[in-house]
Amino acid sequence: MGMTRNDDDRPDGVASMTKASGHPSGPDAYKRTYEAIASNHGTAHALLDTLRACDVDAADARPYREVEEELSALPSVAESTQGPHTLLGILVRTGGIATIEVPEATEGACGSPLSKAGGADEASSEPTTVATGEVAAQAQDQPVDVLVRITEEGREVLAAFDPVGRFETLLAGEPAGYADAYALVLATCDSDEGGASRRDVECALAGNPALTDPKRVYPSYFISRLESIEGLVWDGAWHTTDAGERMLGVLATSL
Amino acid sequence: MAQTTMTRRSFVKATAAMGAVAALGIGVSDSLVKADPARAAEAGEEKLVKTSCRACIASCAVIAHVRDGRVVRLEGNPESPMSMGGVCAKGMAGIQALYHPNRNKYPMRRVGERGSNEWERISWDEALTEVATHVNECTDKYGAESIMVSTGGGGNPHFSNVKRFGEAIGTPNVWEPGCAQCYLPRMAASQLSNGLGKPNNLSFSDSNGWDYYYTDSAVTSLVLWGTDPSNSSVATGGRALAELRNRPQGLKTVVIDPRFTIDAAKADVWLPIRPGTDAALVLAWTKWILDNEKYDVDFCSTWTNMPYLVNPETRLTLKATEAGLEGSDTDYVVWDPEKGEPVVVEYPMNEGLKPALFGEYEVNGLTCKTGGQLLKESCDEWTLQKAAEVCWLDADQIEKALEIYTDPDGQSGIMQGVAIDQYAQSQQNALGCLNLEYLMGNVEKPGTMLQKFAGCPARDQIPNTPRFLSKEMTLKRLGTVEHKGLLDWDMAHIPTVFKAVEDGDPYQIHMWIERSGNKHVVLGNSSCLDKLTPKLDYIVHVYMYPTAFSVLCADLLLPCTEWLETNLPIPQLNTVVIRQAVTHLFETVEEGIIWTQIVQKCAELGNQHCADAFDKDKVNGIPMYKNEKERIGLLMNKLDMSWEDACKQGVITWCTPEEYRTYQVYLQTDEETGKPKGFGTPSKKCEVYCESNIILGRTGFPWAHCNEEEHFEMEPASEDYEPLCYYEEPAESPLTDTEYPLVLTEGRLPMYHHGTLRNIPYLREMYPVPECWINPADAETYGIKDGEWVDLESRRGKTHGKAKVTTRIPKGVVYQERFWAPELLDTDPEAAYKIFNINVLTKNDPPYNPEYGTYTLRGFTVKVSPSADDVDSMVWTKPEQFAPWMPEPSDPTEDVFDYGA
Repeated sequence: MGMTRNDDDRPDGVASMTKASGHPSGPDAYKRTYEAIASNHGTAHALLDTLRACDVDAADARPYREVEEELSALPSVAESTQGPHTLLGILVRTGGIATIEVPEATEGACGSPLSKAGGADEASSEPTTVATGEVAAQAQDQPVDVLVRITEEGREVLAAFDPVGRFETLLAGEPAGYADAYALVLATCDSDEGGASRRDVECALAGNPALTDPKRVYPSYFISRLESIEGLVWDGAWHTTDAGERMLGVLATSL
Repeated sequence: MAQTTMTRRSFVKATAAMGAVAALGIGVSDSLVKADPARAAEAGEEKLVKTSCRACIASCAVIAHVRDGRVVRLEGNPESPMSMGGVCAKGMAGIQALYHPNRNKYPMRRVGERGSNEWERISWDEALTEVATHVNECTDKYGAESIMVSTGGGGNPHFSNVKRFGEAIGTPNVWEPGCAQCYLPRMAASQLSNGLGKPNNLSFSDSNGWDYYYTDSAVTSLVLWGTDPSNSSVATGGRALAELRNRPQGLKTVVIDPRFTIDAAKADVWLPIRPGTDAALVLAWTKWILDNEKYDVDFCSTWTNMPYLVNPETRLTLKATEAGLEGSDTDYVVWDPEKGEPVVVEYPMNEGLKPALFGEYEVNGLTCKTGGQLLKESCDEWTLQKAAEVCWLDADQIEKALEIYTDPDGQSGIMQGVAIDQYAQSQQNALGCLNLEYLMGNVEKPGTMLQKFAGCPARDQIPNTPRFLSKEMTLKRLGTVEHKGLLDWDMAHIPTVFKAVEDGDPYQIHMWIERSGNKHVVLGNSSCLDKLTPKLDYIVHVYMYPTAFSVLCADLLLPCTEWLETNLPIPQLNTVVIRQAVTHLFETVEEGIIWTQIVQKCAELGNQHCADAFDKDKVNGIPMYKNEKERIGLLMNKLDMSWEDACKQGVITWCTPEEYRTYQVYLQTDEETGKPKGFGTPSKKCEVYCESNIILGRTGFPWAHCNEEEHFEMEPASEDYEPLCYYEEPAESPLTDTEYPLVLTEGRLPMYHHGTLRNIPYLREMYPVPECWINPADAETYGIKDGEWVDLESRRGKTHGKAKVTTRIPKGVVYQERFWAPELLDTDPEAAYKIFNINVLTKNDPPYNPEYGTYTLRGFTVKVSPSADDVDSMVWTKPEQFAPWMPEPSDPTEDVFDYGA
């Protein structure tokens, strides 16, 4: 399942990735990146996956197009309202992802070499000067590629959204009987036989005291919460994620 | 190229004329102002198309002048018996609305973060596929209840369509900001206590009070309680009142409203009541009528349940079996004072028996009071003096008003407006005023408000399908176990829904499909949307223009039609007024067609429930229409003519006024029983002691329907609903609140409807920013100067208004109407809705009204102070500033979807 995206039609998608100027850094970047994820549940997982896709050291910064292609295949991005280009752009603007321009490595008309591609340092934003015969032109040449990598602030945000950490926080705030319900849901969805439907989960929880004590909640209460913290993922059925397996481990030690 | 004809001068002239009719009480026929004639350099033939406005619910009949495919002029159609050629400013602005440059023209998907206001155009097929995919996915993942659908009164809504859409996609969570806070209380209270049927209640501006559209009406006086037809229904209700005032015998009026409105200016008595205290005044009126024996003894004895004995243990009327008398458990019992014994009622009343209306009697070991006695006790402490103290009124003026209302040589009626619906005593106010009418016998007589006139063969709402939802799903409707009155409209309780969004409790809401104007302007405590929006995965906005809601919340915009682009038959007294599409622009689609297209796409993508929506056996009602032809056919209903012929006629008279105005239907003989038909309650009497309200709270009857059962029993609400009016001091009370010492009220403006039309240049010129009315004494206390910006604050937030220091509002009260600034959408969409919007201040937390869950839009506390903010630099107020919104006429386009074979 996927929805049509117009990202590929977007003119000069690579160049536009670098148009954002004055990328925030420090606490501001952390705050903005955190808020971008927290402010829209519909894109939260896609943004987190985007950060993860860029979670490399500076030396290993990845080509934008490569990341874009990888993101396109992810279920979270397919479900999101925004395409990979936009998701990357959001995080570049917030300062969670840094970009490195890769200028074109060619010789000038008078034989003056220009800077070569690659390198971990941010390229200068100054226009490249090309000497062309009798007229020196100031031309803002476009980079041929952009490399992307997570920033330190982006890493901190990823840590803050660590699924198991969030699960522990969630459990601490829930009524005592809910731990059992979460365990049941995770176990039901941790099936080798293609996951579990919503009805499967409802059947598993039928009669469970957590549905009525201390208040009335429905089985999807637990599904939604686990999905929010990346313990479950949907691809036509509910599946327990790797993080969800670790949540089961947390529950096993506490129940 | 033909130009649009309406100049600023002629617009103002024409709209002022309509307002003048209402204000000055002069007859319409002599006073309409002709608009300037159309100007054209070169012109095609000008076609006249009869249609109807939908800038508000009055639906005034209009003639549209169309040249070269473009609407060039609008005028009223005198064939309508309700508007008689009148059109207000809102209707006259129809061309500016239609050709507004900022119309949503195509489906648009948001690019980037919410609030960025960047969009990309997509096709309708892509949009429908996207929406349907999300609907189906939410259904599969979480259950269809995780989708909420909303509508509202502003901007061309059809409530039943939206409910039907919700049912078709399987969600019980359809809601609108009106509902519990607008009209539902008055409608449902009437249904419960007299059963006359859905539109028959005390609301005039929602198009009841049909007798008053005839100048030969026997009415001699009217009480306008929290209503101002001259503002809220200018060309229909306001016009009708003006005509009644213009009669040789005139019309006496009592206006109960904190504002000195146009109607108050014409009144014989103005009672500037403290907002939030209507029930206190109702109780005082009730006591005075009983004490002074002004009530209609015969009507009360025979046609109300005042004489019926009440079982103190069950709180319901005593039945023959409980009384130990011969009869069944559906036979009622009264007390015969002559014989000193209980008697089983022989419907409608035993021959020769004058049952006791008041008193307490021993029956079979029970001490039973009559319904009348309980009514009497409920209001016993409410002297005029006490009411005057609580309501901030003068006792003598209250009495003067009562004398007008109860004049034995006259015929009165009460018109009850939305003000009484808008705080936690909504049901109590509604039941209380109905009781006043029952006491006076003001039911189905010439000149009364409550009537059961002949039913129109056509309809403007296709009934929705509550029995399409399973019992399991119906019980998941949020908030309706506690607030069962909402079941009357098959709607959910907004605060409970919002809790589900915010906390995921009792389940998470994931998706929102919203069809109306600007939720940020009309919801109570609307800033709460800032917290809720992040929790939602996908939000669709169906509307004609971008609003703050579009920019801050929506992921997808679907462009719907303006009223000049839509079709609808509209019952108006003994006629049907046809609204027919005059043009069609861009890729806009009529909302009813958007709904069916989404449902069809969901079905196509595998949603079986959506496929079943088109099967009448599965829905237990009217199945979903597939296209415009089917939709119109359902609306035409029993009107025996084709849509095409109806459009040619424009206004169809389906019976004579005499055939339409059927009085005292309750006295007509029921052929099956040979007895009078009575009323639509279990007792067939008007329930002064409204035991149906008790039963509603305990069981959900008569409105708990589901697929499996026509009536099923729900678990009871946490406390009994009360059968009689009672008074509770507002939770935020000026009597005790030292931090927020003033009481705020809102109220209608004649040139706007809810949150709509703030983007229309000529209307904004007339009233560019909201006035904050403040009494001179309060202005002096708080340092407020006339014409200056003020900060208006409540416990929920802060906003602004432009001070109008006036005695038109009493001391201790401030008035301001809802507003927002479309001009800020691009630069600061959050400010667009917060800058001068009183719904940033209103209250959506408990206490709620028990029956409907009504929260508080009027009668809460605020404080006012001079503002240091430079509001003038942010918003538009000068005529030239509105130039970017001047209309850009465009040629008609083909409808997006097929009309139907």
